[in-house]
Amino acid sequence: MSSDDDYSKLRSLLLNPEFERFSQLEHRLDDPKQRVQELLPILPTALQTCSETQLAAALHPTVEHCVKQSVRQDPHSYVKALLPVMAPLLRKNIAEAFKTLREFLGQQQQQLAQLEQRFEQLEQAKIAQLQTQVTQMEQEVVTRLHTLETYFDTSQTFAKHVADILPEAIQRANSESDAQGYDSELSKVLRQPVEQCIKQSVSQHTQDFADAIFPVMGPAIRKSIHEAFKALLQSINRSIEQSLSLKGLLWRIEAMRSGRPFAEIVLQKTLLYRVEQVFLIHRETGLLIRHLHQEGIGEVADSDAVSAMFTAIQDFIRDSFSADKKAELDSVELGDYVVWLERGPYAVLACVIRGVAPFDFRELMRTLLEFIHAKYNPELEHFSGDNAPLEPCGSILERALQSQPKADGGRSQLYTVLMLGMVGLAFGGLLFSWGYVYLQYHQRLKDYVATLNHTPGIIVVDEQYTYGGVILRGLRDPLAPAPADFLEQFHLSSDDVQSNWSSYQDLSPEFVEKRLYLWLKPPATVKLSVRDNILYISGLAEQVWIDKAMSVVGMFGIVEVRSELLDRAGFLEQKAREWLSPPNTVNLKVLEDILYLRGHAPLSWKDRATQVVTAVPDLKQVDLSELLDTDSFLLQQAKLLLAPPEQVDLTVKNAVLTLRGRLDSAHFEAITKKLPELKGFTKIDDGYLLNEEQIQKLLQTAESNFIHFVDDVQMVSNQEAKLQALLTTLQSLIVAHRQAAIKFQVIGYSDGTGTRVYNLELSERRAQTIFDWLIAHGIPKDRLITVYPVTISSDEARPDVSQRKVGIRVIRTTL
Amino acid sequence: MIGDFSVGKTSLVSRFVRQSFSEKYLTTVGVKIDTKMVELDKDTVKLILWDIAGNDALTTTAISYLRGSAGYLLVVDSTRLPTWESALHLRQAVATQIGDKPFVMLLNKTDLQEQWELDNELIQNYISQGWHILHTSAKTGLNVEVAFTTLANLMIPA
Repeated sequence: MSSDDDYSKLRSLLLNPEFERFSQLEHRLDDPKQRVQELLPILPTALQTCSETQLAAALHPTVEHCVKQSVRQDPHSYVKALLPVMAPLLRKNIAEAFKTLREFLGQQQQQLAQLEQRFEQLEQAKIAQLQTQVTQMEQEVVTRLHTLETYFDTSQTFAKHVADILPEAIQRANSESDAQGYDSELSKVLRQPVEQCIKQSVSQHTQDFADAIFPVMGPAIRKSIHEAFKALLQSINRSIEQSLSLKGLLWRIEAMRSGRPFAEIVLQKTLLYRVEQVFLIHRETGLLIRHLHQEGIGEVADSDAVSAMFTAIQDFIRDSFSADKKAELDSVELGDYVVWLERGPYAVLACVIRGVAPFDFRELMRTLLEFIHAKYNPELEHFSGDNAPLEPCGSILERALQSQPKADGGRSQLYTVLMLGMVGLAFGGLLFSWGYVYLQYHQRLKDYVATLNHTPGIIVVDEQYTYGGVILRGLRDPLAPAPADFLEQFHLSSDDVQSNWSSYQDLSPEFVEKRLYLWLKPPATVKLSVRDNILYISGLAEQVWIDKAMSVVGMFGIVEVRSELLDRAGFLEQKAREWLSPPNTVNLKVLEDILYLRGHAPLSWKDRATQVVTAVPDLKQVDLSELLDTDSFLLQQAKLLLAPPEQVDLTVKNAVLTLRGRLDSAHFEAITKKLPELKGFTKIDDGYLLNEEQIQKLLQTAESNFIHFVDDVQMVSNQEAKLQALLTTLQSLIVAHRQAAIKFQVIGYSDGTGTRVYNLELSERRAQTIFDWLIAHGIPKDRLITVYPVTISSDEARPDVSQRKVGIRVIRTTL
Repeated sequence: MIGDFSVGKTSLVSRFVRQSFSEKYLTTVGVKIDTKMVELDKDTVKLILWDIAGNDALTTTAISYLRGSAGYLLVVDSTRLPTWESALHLRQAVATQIGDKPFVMLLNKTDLQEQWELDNELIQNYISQGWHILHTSAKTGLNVEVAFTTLANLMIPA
């Protein structure tokens, strides 16, 4: 069909260029590289053109997320620098955007396809119409194409278009990732550029960032500074405290001398340093000889690896930084730690120190190292990995493991110890005294409670001891003493004791008595007593009262009333009896208020008895008429019993019976025999009652018994027996004469020859001889006396031999 | 451990040793220290392993690191012949520095058979000279333990 051919030709003619252009355009659009190329220049413009708020809003969540992630994961690099602004590479995102564009173009394509259809439809129509239509279409298409081309050609418009869709595209990307929960591609891609952006921004606008961050960091920084200062302050405080001590003054001097500030000296001297680890490393091989560490420090990961690495680093540093390759690493500072190194010919000593170590610690390290080298030189020189020979180094290295505040000398240590000791003592003393005081107090409380419990009428039921005192519960008879009265006794106050007393009636006799007194109100002449639940009433009372008293049976536990009440006479009798306390020889009776006393009593008592009337007011009179005094009574008794003859004189005074007289033997015997039967006498004195009969006999014997002498004072041979007999007689006489005085005169005689003087003297001597003998044999000296004879013959021509004798004369005093 | 760049020294050891330090020490300090416990017939030995950064010749730093070593491992990349040459040169240099210390040569990357570049005859030659040469692979772990055990046995005085 020609029209078909024509038509197709026309069609192809008309549309081919357009198709060409179209396909060119498509190609352009399809080729991502091309697209990108085209986009690249205009993208910034697009971004700029893009409405800021929209774009910002769209980017905001992503960027935020990125920034957070980044900062979290890699804060260091992030903070260090913000790299130059994002390179133009929103590849994937643009791809997304382009997807939209593609869709849009797809749509356009569809439309064009539709156009094609229309073309075919319009095939049926007039060609002219078609032509015009096609032209129109073409124009339309062309213009649209043109638009598209220009769209993509002109940076401005393209950029603007991209700008328009960019926020949405980004948001779309965000929402997708949100929905799926993982980091969106967008944020992954954006991360790097955003990071770099921000780093650059930070470096360019540091102040802004600083201002923004400061509110958060500021307090944190302040806090840590504050803490650091607190610690510093503490140590300075300590130093100030010590500044008053001798040590502190010395430090001040040192500060002045060395020119360093006092605080620095203090810090240096008081700050704790702690050597946490000690490494002894073989220099050549880097092998670890010995490693010591403080307890509580985690073990270093692998001390062998560490020491080897350490050696490597030393080598590295030396090689890198020392021009002559000779300088060595001495110390490494690392935050709170510092590692000090000392080198010996074969070994290196490394100490990891926390804190500020004093300078002389290095001296110590050096000394230890030298010592180790000196002691283990061969082992160190030939060290090849076997630690065993160098094991003992440990004890030497221990000395480096120090961890004390510096103590300069034993003096300050002593001071510290003293201070501590004193504080400890003071504290201990305080504790002790407090404890003691408290114990005492507690004991007092207990004693108080015990006393209360033992007080009749008070029963403590419950006692609770608290810190401040005691809480009591109990029963108290109202008549019992008040518990508060006892407080003073134990130095307690009413604050110490809380008590709650319930009333009860104590039925012990004491209380029953008290109650009965209150209840019965007895007159003063009545005495009440309760024993075994029986009321005993004694005394004198009116009948009315007596009746009342009898009625108390059943009250207060009383089961019976026994009345010992007296009538008046009996009462007075009792009173008198009480006052007089008469001996049992006296009989007492009251009749009509008159006291009759009968019997006998000592005179003194009798005299006192007259006073009884004043003592017992109700007595009108005392009758003593039949009251004998004892002495007379006794005398009467004695006479009755002894029936003495008239020679005997009996007297009684103060109950002492005295007998005097001389009796014949019969009477003497009789009376003496009866004497023990006498009763009521305090003493019987019969010293002057003599057996006259016996005495006379003895007297005669004595006086008729002469001791003869041969010559001078020489006795006749057989006089010994006579002397003895005489002695006996005299002794008997003394005995028989009892208390009456009896004396013996020793009289000597002479034969008459010689002068008077001589004879007197001779008779005296003779008497003296006998006198001496008698004394020697027991006659008391006061009973003997020597006398001259009454008559003395002298100058006789012939001696009267019989007169050479000594005789006795008995002298008796009258009774 | 001595050897050229990228012969696989670090890979060889990383699986088998106790890693105390990170890789970056190699690039910064030029050495990375590891330790390895080796069980021998009679005792157990702790090897302190200095993994020295790869180079075709001996650097001054490497020299100082070598000081005091009891033995060494020479590592060769079997897929690159130049590394074999470097190894030989290194061996000479090391011997000059520290003397005739025991060593084991490791022909690494054995798993990449198809890329084998070394001359087997030459290898045999050296083996007959008394060199201890092992085929190893860090990837598969072939002969790595053996390498250490062998070296340890050589280093312990008889």
